[in-house]
Amino acid sequence: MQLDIAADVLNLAPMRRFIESAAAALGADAQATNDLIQAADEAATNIIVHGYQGQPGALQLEVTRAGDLLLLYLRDHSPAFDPCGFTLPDVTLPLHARRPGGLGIYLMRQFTDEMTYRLLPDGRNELRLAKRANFQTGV
Amino acid sequence: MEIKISQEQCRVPVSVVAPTGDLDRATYQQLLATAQSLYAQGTRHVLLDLSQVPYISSAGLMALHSMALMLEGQALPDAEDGWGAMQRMRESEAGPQEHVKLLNPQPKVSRVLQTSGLDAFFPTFTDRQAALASF
Repeated sequence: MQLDIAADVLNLAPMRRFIESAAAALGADAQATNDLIQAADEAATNIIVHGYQGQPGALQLEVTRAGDLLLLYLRDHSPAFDPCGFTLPDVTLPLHARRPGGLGIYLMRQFTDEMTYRLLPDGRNELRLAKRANFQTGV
Repeated sequence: MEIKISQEQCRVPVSVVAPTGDLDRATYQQLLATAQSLYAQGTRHVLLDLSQVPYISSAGLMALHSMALMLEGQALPDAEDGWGAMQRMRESEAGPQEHVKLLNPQPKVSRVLQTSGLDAFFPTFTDRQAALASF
């Protein structure tokens, strides 16, 4: 299931509802779904705020399943950025030397089982967030 | 996001702030603006009723943290300095702050507060009277 949506913080709530209904259609359990939604919201927020920097842009979400994993792919055209390679800030650094957005990435890691990034051949970023889930129906 | 405000006279005056809806990047500034307005009117203690907030993201956590700093009279952190702000709270030896307390966070919100470690800094209550009496 796929959703193409404008990169706008006002679309975060519709995006969360899309993931919830797509995960329900796949039969994923609520806890895994909620965790994936949390991570996806943080990822999309970072893309909108830091990637597109408030400029118009597109976000593509795809929810699917692979084995016992509930998967979310998040694709965007903002400048290439790999949040998986993001090193959580050295807390001994002065505040002005730390990169922003770390709390969101910290939560993304905490709420997913796998987080991988790749640059697509068409130049888009693709972030893959995976959460182990119990599925009620075989898909 | 609708935000209801009521005033209670305890040992100190307490503003009860009750937002309705998700606290995310699209809405957190409304909560901050409410806190700024209350601070300008003299409020220094807030009971934040989270019973009608089904979801919170890191932006909402930042709003909670900024509210606490504001009511303590401290300078607000850089809006993007989420991790730094959280670390400062975690490293603080002062324990929980006393200016912003939480009432009835819902399970998903509690989970995010715990995961971020911020739960240790916000006294949390399930009973409104007990919460008010604690100020």
